[in-house]
Amino acid sequence: MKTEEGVFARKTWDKSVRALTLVVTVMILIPLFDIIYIVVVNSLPGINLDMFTHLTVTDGILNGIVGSLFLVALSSVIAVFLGLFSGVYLSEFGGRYASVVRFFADVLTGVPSIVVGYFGYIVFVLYLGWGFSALAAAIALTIIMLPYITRTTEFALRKVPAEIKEGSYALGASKATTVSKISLRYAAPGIITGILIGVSISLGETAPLIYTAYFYNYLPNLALIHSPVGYLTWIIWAFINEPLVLAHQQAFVSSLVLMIFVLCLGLGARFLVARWWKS
Amino acid sequence: MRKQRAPEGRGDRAFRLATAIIAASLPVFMIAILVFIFQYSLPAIKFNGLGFFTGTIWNLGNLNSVSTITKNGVQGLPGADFGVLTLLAGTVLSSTIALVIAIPTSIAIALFTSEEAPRSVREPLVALVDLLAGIPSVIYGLWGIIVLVPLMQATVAPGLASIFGFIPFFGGRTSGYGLLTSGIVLALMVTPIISSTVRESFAKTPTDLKEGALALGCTKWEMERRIVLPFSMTTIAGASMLGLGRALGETMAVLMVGGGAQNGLPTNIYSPISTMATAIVTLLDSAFTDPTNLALYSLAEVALVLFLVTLAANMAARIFVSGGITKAFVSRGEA
Amino acid sequence: MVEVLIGEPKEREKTIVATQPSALSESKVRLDRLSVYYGSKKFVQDVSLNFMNNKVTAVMGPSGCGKTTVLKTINRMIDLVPGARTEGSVYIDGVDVLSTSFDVTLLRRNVGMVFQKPNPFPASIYDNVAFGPRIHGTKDKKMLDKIVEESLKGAGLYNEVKDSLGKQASALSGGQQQRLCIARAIAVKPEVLLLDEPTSALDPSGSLKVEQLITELKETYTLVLVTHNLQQAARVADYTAFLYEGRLIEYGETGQVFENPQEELTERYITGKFG
Repeated sequence: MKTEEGVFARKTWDKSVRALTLVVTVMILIPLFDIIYIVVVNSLPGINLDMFTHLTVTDGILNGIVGSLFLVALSSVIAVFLGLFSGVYLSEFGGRYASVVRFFADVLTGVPSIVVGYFGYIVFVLYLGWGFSALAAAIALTIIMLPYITRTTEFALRKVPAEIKEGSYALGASKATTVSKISLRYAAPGIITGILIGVSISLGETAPLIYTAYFYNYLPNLALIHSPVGYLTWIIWAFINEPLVLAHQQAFVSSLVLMIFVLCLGLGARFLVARWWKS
Repeated sequence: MRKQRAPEGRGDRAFRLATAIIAASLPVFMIAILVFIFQYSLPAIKFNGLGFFTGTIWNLGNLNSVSTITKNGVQGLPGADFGVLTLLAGTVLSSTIALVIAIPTSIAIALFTSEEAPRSVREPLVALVDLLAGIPSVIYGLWGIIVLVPLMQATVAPGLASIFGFIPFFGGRTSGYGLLTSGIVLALMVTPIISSTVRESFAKTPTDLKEGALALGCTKWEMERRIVLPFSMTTIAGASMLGLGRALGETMAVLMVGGGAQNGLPTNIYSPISTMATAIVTLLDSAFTDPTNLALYSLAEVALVLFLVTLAANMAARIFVSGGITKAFVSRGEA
Repeated sequence: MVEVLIGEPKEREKTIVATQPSALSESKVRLDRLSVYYGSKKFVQDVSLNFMNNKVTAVMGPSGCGKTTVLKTINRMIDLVPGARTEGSVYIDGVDVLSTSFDVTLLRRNVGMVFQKPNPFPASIYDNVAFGPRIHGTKDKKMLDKIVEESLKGAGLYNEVKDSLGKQASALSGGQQQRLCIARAIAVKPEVLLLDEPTSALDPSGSLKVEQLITELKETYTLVLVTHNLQQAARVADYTAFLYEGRLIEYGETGQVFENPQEELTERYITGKFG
């Protein structure tokens, strides 16, 4: 059997580099756990009934929670309606127009959220005169969510096996019926996953809301315009810079609530995907 | 793109029309953003001219003045001088630092999760890394303030100074807020995006090529370096562009740890910075005080520049990454 | 289903040993009671077999009989299969290469492999052949040029590509690609060559060239040829081993095995009754 010089060096390189990849992977996970740790640890002192039942003016975060949910719900209604049908169009029909729409979806994903916010400010708050309002914020969030929901709906529908659709067409069903009764049902987990991701993203947004919803220390009244809304991410951003201990607690508890929401949505999405692949 | 071979009856045509109209919302929104921001910034473009890109100062002018000056038909306060260079520098430098850290890190993570880790551990590991992508940017900012900033001041800065201090860029004292801190936080936010895209590409490396290299006596790393990495070169480039696009537009985290600088270029790695994105937030309140609204128009001009720069990065990414960039973001939700 | 009367295990073993050449010193590669498990399933069962120096030994049998698995143990490519486990020994020049302390990198330099489907790297012809030598430390351009030329000549490909060494390997025909893979394998000057159904993805003229090459190569190398093509084995192999369901059924000189098979199972396989 031959021997070879330099093999030891090659093997040492091999072991070292591969060990390095392990080290780097572990290192990237340290901040992840650290973030979770500091949020949990620093919010513990602030977790009490008052925090969740009072408003920000009275040492609570209730208006933040309600406001966030309100804005996300409002924008989801619009974004899901637009995104779902857009995704249906992209998956069922081809041609130049569809490619154009797809292109714009990709471009839209890349627009910085602050730019969307400034756009919302110029057009809805100033030009249309709505002032800081839930509707302006909801449209801004819709713009951010829309490309995701559109594309995930498209991908999910594309995965529907052709045989199933053809079975429906062969029975004389129209495209609309096939899509609504067959394809959507089949693709539902994938579509819902996309929606959950979109919701998760919009829950965590701040920049587009700063100048569309501004902030409000009280529960949102249901007027869609002329009335600002408070939300969790503002609390985190603004209150951490206040010198008061209680303000910090409000910021941390808001972070905790936010991360729990995001975690649940993410787990929900993964669970759905796992179920989808099984079917 | 072949059309579906389905019968097109009257109902189908109506269906197609209805969904097509709804799908128009995407280009409509996109073009609306472009048009309105451009239109709103037009006065500022006229007033500021090319000096916008060379000026480092953001000066609303004499707020107490009763009269206004006019340039190119646009009114502004006397002494008004809007320059975006400081912001551009902050944006570009922080994103560059972020990429310098994130790209090798992402490649290492992608290699580990696609080639090295035991199979049973891969899925959970990938899920964990993707979790980093799901954390809202304000919370990154929060962590930055509470953990990273003190760390930078107490440990990292003195450490770096002792090794690299002879280079002026690395020397200096710091409050902990600044360029490097921003770069690190951005790197954390951008790494999951790059690594998941690259990992998917690594996983697609044809097995027979890998086996061929190993059968010739390559060590595993040699095989990874000579077969797996070259195979995914374009994807790595594209994913990096994606990460760049994301870093350029990031607002809250950099706002919270960047320190804030409107009127001076960063001089070293610890200098406080503002980016175009953070400036739109911080300068808006003061912009309200300008009766000519020129400050507001100029902020729109900043938004326009930011948008165009981000667009360039994302278009570059689109060339390199197959499936389009939305897919890259979306794939973190799919198994 | 095939009904076969296989004698008592002890008798069978005696039979197999009897047909092997007794001069063990001539066997380059020796499998000793080799077993391979995929998970809990014993896929290859107690195979003992010699591969003689500078000869071509064909390993044949129906799909799933374990012939490729056995091949993969010789250069330890079996290590890459998750859940695979080996028992027994593979001796090359008297050294057990399956022992964990044995250097796999060196082993694979010494035992080359050609795969069923040609797998040239996405690079030029030159870079494909030079890949192995470069990995193992050869940097000098003149040396590499010489090795590339020799290897391409050894694979019978030189005259066809000598003016276009910079051309992409993917531009070659299937048969040429496979000969390129052979050149690539011999560029590191192995002593043993493992060929896993090397012509099954090629057209007749490509196959013919590869078979001619095999006959030339045995002067320099020891070849193990896994094939399901009986005529091919009959044409090029000096010795033939027949595997069935992970067991070695028969082994001997090719002429013997084909004209006068000792086992009924072998006879049924050769006459096409199954497989």
